[in-house]
Amino acid sequence: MAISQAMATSFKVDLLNGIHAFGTTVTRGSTNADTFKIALYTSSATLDATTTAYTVTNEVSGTGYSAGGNTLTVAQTPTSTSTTAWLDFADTTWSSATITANCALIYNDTQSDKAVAVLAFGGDKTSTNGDFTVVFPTADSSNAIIRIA
Amino acid sequence: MIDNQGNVLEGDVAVLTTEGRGFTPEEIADRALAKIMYVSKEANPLIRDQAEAFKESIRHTLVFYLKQAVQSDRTTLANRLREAGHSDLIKILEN
Repeated sequence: MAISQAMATSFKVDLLNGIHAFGTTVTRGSTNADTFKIALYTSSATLDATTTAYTVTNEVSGTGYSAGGNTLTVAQTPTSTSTTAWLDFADTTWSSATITANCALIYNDTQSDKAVAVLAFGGDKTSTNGDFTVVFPTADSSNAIIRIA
Repeated sequence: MIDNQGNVLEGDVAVLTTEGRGFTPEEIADRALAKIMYVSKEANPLIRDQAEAFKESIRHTLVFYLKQAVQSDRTTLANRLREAGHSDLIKILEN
């Protein structure tokens, strides 16, 4: 018999699927997946691990961009490889856009715009009458955008 | 001591932008390739070379069909413009 103390990998996947609730949970109207969005921000924004929800403060404005940002498509629903649970979003593009952004916020549009992740671009990124695309990392347990290891 | 550590991790995104144009089929093909297959730098050199060669052949196929899609969409757009009485604008769509 072999015994290894571990956090169950299935539990990690379940967390991403919203299966477990250790505290007061929300009342869901359906069993549908939530809608996640990505909003762009200027370098004047203050976004970090303490960010709790989407805000319009210092959100990007310009041709081809609407407040609230783009709706994300889940390209890979929560899964696991070895002991890491992960998921992936499809790349998202603002077309024919004239905008400058320095960072982005992924948030849960269904659950009161609660924050998921802050993405720093490492500097200002600009599109002029062109496409502005956020490319998500390789979809695997070592690189995916959201992982629980 | 038994350590039962778990980490929530966040991957790094890249941002690609264009000025005065959209992305080319070649640029989009490169992005698609990165999603389709990843060749580890630490892989056995023989396997890595084969994987890289396969990746390159996929790239050619992707570029070819992406160009076909662009051309086909332009045909659709040309017809829309013609139907709307703007046949003169069709030349703009030609390379």
